[in-house]
Amino acid sequence: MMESVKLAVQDALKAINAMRSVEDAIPINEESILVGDSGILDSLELVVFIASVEQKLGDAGGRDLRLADTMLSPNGPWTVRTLTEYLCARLADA
Amino acid sequence: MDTRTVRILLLSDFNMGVFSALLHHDGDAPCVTAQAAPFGQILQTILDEKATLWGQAFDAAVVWSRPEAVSEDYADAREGKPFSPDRIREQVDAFCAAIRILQGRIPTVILPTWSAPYDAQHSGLMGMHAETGLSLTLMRMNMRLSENFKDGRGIFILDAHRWIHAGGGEAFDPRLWYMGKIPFGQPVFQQAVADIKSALRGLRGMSRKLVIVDLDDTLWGGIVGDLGWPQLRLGGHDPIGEAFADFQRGLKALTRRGIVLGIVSKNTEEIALAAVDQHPEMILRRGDFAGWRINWEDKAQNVAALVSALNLGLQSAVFIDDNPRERSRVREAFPEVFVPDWPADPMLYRKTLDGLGCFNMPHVSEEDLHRAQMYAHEQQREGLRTSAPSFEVWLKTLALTVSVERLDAENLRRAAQLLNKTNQMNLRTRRLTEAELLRWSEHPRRRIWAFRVSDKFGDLGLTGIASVECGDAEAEVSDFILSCRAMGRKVEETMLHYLVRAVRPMGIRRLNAVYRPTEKNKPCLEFLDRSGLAAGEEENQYYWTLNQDYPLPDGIHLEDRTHLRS
Repeated sequence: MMESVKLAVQDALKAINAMRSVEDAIPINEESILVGDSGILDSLELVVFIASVEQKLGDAGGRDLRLADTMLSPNGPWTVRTLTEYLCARLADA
Repeated sequence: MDTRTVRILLLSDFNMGVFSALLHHDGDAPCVTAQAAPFGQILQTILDEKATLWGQAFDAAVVWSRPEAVSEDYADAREGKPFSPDRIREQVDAFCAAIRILQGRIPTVILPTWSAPYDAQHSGLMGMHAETGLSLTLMRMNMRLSENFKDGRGIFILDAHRWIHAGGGEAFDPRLWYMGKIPFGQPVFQQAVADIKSALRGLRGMSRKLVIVDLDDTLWGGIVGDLGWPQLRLGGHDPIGEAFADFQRGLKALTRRGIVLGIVSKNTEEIALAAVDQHPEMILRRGDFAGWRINWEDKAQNVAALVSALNLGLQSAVFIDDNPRERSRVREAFPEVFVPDWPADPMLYRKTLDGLGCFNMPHVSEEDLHRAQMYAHEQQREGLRTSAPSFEVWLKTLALTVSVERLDAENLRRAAQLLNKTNQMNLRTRRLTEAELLRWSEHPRRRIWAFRVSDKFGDLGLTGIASVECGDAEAEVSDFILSCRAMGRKVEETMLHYLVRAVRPMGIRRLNAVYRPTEKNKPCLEFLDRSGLAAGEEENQYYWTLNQDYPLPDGIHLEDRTHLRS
């Protein structure tokens, strides 16, 4: 499960990087801060990111998850690692 | 070729942020800077003459709208309410009228076709109902859109359904719509960027003009030198043979759009050409190829030699070869040549060819249709040149006629094409769309002429353009353009002779030509240096004083047809 979640997050970041120049590409590593103070996603990218992760997890047979409320909540900051762990936990609960 | 950054205005009734970012960061030529107008305000923006946007110079606009935003009646239809097909037509026409206003400010407008939102794609048994079908209504809206702009002058419609097809299951994502007012998934926007870039390349003269193909296992299956042509896999009741024949059909279709074919192959020429001439399933015959280099030499050098012989630039060429080593060699030697990755499976050849996206052009001219024939005539001319005792004798034998026309509706398209494609004999390398060229020529002190060239072998078509902007006593040459296919035959001198003759009645006493150097227009400088024009006071300035005629070259018949059409 962890692998498919990681893959979904990485694919979503790749989709964001296609919208950025090579110099501004988001490094795909676990500590990249996505949302919150020093978060690297702007509002448009956050929408694309959320939609992409939700779709990829749905396509991979995972439960449909709604990330929008979660990622916009004050519980952040969300890094690649904390988001992956959160998603794994949610899917395990399902 | 115009490699400037293209400034694009995006007008839409949805969030174009993703599209704009993808367009801006896409690595393919041309570079684009995109600015989005406030979304949801297409008509308001266009109709507001005082909008600050209009203070900026845009090269093109992309107006991407949703059908339900353009037509209230279509929106009603989506909700199952009664609607009027007539009103939908009127609403589409009103939208088109606004687009024409926009084109008055921005020379090129690109309109993606309307596509059904994700919730309206499947209307089942009723979708194509002749009166109330939602799918049919949308098709009619797109047809009406297309009919409104069928003259193709500066307003181009791109098929968005292609993009949605490419997007597959990710084409629509309701999450994107509800969270961000983004109606399509990223794959749709990516395909749109690819097609719009391709369109911009076509409009700016950056499309490829020449396809050079290998023979063995590229044009047919098998090695002709080993098997002999009767044993090649081509056509017949054989899936691989059919695939090769279909690939040839694809290449043949390109020739009907003015794309020139050439062969570079490691083979014995006699054996290879026997297959081209005699194999009963060959779709392409010798006459379909403008030239070939069939020998055992280095393919990269052969590619360069063939391109040069055809008077084209390397940036015009595409090289197709099944052998990855040969592809790599040509790619490394000449990065300007487009060498697409090529599939190992011949059944994918046609699909790969059709997907190259490098042959885009806004229209096909009469010259395009006969280009291969023109190259055949050119080979005959060159044959005669070799046997003629001198250049002058050769020129006289050709019996050249140069006829001059004014720019008009009939030749505008070809003139704009020539203006945007010609690199070598080009004084200033101005690039203008048809609409811009026409607008430029409407000034009372400007003149533009088109030159057609023919000789005893055939018609070279409209190959030259010259334009001037006249002051009180002096005139500036704005464009002096001659296609490479007519260069070096005293047509240049004939054009100068005509310019001098034509501006004199306007009170002009001196004709100036200022050469603007580019990477490719040195042939123009060389002509100016030997033309007999005097060197001017400014750098790269040449001039002719009109107290004397500029001589018409011997042996050339000049036909003035400027009074025949309006």
